[in-house]
Amino acid sequence: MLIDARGKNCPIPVLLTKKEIDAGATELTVLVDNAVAVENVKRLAAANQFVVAVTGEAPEFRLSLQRAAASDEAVCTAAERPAWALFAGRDVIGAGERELGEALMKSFFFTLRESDDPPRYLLLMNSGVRLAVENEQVIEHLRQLAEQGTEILVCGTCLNYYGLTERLQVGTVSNMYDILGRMQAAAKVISL
Amino acid sequence: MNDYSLLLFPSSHDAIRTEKLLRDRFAVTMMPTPRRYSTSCGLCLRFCAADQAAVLAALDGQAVRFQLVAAGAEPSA
Repeated sequence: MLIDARGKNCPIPVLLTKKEIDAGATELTVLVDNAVAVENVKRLAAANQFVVAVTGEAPEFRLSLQRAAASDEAVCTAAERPAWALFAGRDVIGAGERELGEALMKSFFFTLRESDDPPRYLLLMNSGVRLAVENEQVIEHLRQLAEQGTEILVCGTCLNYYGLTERLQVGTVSNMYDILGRMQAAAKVISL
Repeated sequence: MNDYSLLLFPSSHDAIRTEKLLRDRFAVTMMPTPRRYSTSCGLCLRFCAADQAAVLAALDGQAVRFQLVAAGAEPSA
């Protein structure tokens, strides 16, 4: 099965690949034209117990996916955990005293990073982008979440507005299209 | 593997004030108080056990109330 997703914007390459995986494909070749799509398809493949080999370079990356000989149990565990998204539109939790809101945010991200069901997507907008720029404790938690597979998308408009673009410590500069796409791809979106 | 120590607090004000006193000098992590220490969801501070003497020295004479516990290598709960 060959999927030609060149020229398709995120998350289309992932959605096309997922459709074939869900349909029961065990071997797939996916063509994409950018490195972000490569990473996203790789992550999807890994989450579905596929082994991935990448060849080529822009504008044509070739990903060869093959279903790994995983135990049925492992497949079930992955399937039972629907992808969810976490949206942070501010840098504190709740309304009230700012120092309490900051402390709660640190405590929240520590707890999230230690949990066994971290979000597939973390979406940061408005002053929420400050979490990935200025808050050292939260940045460390975000790095660990990213290592565990959470994709962190940071609103580029917001970074630009606050003059923080050059200081982003973790995550990918993103846009409204991709952020909305992740919300729509998620089984649920939790807003802070 | 890192061993951690925890500071528990009688109030969230003490937790926030203590974090401000320590955060520029030590790698402290604010986290919810593990359930085995409290049934409430309070804030506590975690830091490397190796820093324990220096942390206590930094808090000596400060107007904050706290309780020190050795958390061992477990990260949470």
